[in-house]
Formats: sequence, C-alpha cells, structure tokens
Amino acid sequence: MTDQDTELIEGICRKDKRSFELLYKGYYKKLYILAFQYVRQPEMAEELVNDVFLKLWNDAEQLNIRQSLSSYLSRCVINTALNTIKKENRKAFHQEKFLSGYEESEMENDEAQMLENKLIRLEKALDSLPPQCKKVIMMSKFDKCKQQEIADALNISVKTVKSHLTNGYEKIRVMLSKEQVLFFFLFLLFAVELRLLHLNIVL
Amino acid sequence: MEEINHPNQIPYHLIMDEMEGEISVADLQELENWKAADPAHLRSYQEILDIADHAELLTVYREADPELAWQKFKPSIPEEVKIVPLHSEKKSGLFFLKWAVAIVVVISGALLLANQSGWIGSQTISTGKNERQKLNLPDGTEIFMNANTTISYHKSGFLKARNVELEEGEAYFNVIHDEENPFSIKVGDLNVNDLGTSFNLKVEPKQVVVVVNSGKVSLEKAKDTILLSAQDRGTFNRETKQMSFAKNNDLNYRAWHDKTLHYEKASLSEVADDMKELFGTHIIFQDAALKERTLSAYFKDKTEAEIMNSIAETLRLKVTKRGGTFVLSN
Repeated sequence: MTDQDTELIEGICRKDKRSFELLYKGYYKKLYILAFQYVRQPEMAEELVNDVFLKLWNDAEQLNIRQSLSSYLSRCVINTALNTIKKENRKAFHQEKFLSGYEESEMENDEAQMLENKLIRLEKALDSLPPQCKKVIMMSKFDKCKQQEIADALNISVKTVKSHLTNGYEKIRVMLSKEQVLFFFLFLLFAVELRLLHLNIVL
Repeated sequence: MEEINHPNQIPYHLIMDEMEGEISVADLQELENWKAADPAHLRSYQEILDIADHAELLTVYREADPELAWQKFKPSIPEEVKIVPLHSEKKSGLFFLKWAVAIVVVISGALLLANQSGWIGSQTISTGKNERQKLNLPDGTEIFMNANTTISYHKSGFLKARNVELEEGEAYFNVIHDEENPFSIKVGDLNVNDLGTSFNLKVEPKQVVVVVNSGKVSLEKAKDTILLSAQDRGTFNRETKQMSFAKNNDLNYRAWHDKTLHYEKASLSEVADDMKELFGTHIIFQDAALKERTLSAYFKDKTEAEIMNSIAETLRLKVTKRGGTFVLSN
C-alpha cells in the first residue's frame, strides 16, 4: 500500500470521517466505472460501490491487505458486481463475456486502475482525431445516435457518416495497438534487465 | 487517411450496422464469413467492439462526480458500528433491555459468576426472541447470533484454546485463521472445527446443520471426521448421531444474517416459508395453485411489504394486507 493509503486506512480505523471522505473521493470514479462496466446501470453501480465503501468503513480494523488498496477495492467491486449479476440473473450480452472471463478469485489485479488507464488512452486517441470525425464518433457512442440521425443533425450524407466512423475507428485501433506493442517492448526490456541483474548476482 | 494502410480489409460498415442493430441478414452473413476467415479478423473485430464499448464507458466516466456521490452517500455512514463488546455486559444489558429483560439477568448472572471466580468462569451470551447480536471474540473472530441463541466460552483461556460452545440456536461465524490454534465449536457430541473461514451453524431439534460460505470446516464426532469445503452443507443427526454432507442448494441459508433473499425458480410456498422465518410474515394464497408459481428474484435489505409488492408485480398478482397477513390473489 502507498503511505497515503496506509494513513487513510489508519484514520478509518479510528472512525475519522475526514480520512474516509478523502479515500472515497480519491477512489470513487474508477471504482464506479469498473462497477458500471459489469452492471450497466448507473444507480446499481453507485449502490454497489457505496456498499464496498461501507464495508471498508465498518471492517477496516480487520482488513489484511497484501497488495495495494486499489487492487483490493477493485476485487471487492468485481466480486460484488458478479454476485449481483448472478443473482439478478439478467441475460445481458456483457454478462457472458465477463462471467466467462472472470471468476471470483484471490487474484489481485488492479482492474480499476487498468480500466481507467485504458479510458484515458482512448480519450487521448479520440482527441487526436479530426474535429468532424471525432464529433461523429461522439454522437454515435456518447449520445447513442443512429447513423441516419447523425447525418441529419450534421447535414451530411449517411455515406459520409460511415466513412468518418470507419476512419475514426481504424485510427484509434491502430493508435491503441501501437501503444500496446510499445508497452509490450517496455515490459520485455524490463524483463531482460531483471534477468541480467539476476545473472550478475549469481555470478 | 494516409496513416491507414488497408482500411478496406475490415468491413467497418457492416460492424457499424451490426452495433446499431440494423443489419440485414445477407450483411450479417457476410460479416460472419469475414470473422470466420481468419483469427486475425476476429481479433480486429473484438478490438473494435472494445473501443466502442470503452467509448461508451468514457462518457459515463466523465460524468461521474465523486463530490456529488459523497454528498449522497454521507448520510448512510453509520455513526457508530453496532458492536456489542463482550467485556461491557452492563452496557449491552441496558441496550437490549427493552427487548428482553431475561437476557440482562443471564448476562449479569454470568458477570457475577465471572467476578466471583476471578474471570475464570465461563461466559454465556444469549439472545432473546427478537434479538440478533454480534459478538467480537478476543481473537478478532466475529459471531453473528440469530434470535434464541446461546453461546458460551471460557474468557480467560480463550486466546490459548479457542473453544466455544453453541448450546442452542443459530449463528454465523467469521473465524480468524490461526494454524497453530484451531477454532473449535462444541455442539453436544459434535465438534465443528474451523480451518479459517466463514460458515453458518444451526442447531435444530433433530439435527445440526453447517453451511460453509468460504474456507474449510471439519465436523468431528468421536473418531469420525468429515471435511467440508465452501458451499457444502454438513448435517449431524442428533438422534442417530450420523454425519453426512452434500452440496448446499439453499441460497438463503444465511438470509437472517445478510438480509438477502435470493431465488432461482423457487416456488412461492418456499418463499412464504422464508418470509415466515425471516419476518414472521404470514402469507395466504387465495388459490392453492399459486403456491406452485415460480419466482426468480433478489432482495437485499428490503422490508416485507417491499418484497411482497415486488413479488406481486413480477408475477402479476394482487397483494392485499389484512391485519398482519398478506393475501396473494390472481
């Protein structure tokens, strides 16, 4: 855990509301979006995140966090979300995707941070698109407009809308996968470095 | 455009139409053929869906407001956790006075006894008819006691030998794991040994039932032992003294503790039994056939009226309340 997190958790153990407030505000956004990715309903996602925080407030003394607080909270959110989905038994398409990929486990990846990073990278990629192209994608995804509606609103043809979507998505896809390759190389480099370090020690 | 090498390789127009849910049968077939042609196609397809999905999440993410959420959340933070510490019997006695004077008598009796024997005697905690209570043991273990439950343990030696006796009733255990010092619960002839876990333990007139939520629990009777894992249900027949176990299929075994009811195609008569146990609700079915209607639902922290209304709404039934009784009709 980071020093700041340790301090906040200690505060929460003393039932200090100010520490709780700082922690809540610091983590809310990424935990909320993580919950939303699973349950797809704003109120339910909010309720779920609040439940996790309440549990933290009530049981802080008994916490035994091995890795980071953020990973721990991510795991709580995911497990609670999976339980909610299972119980609600809703047949959304996302459900299958997540239920097949994830099971409740001890695994402690910082899923919330990973998702937040992805969204920030996507936002950057979107910002680098030509203005009209960005506008079309925003309308299609953020305002959930159909292609025809976008065409009408911007006074362009559906064909043009399609070509904006095509170009936009392709550019974003290429940008993000390039970044991924970069990350992969950095990781490899890091691994090699470690290996060398290890060899040095052995020698 | 110049950055894009082969934009035509990926049939974006088809994927976009599919995302909108407005794709013709022929186009869908074309898209499926393309996806099936090459694993790389499928990967690109998935990448595009992920981008679209994340773009949607991005809107939600941007609009999330921690300040506003906190203002809404703040009032629901409990001022004080409702923990009843074991060593302040006086306080807990007063706290529950309105519910059951009898408990005060038992507790002060235990206090007196403990005082007389220099805190060596055993500690007994009982809950009354409508009382639920949380016990925090010195090792950090939590015991949530249902109504009409009696638990005793030796206070002075507890940290050395973690032994607890469940005399009657039902309790949910959250045990802190300590390999060197196992946690053991005695129920008559039966010993329930915990290997670091949470589980529900219920003493019924004819049997003792253990349902394991997480971790492992062993049941021990004389020289017999059975080991239970998460989601197992172990029973001990108090008459034949036989032990047995099976997968637990009662989703609501700890509803009394977590205030959560969960049904998957359960019959209404089952639901009615749970409601009776949890709230004391009495449900009358105007038509006996209604008892066989099935319900899939999830209720958390709901009142009996909220649950009844929700059931009626889901199954398109009418619910009326007469006195303390709910009547369900077509």
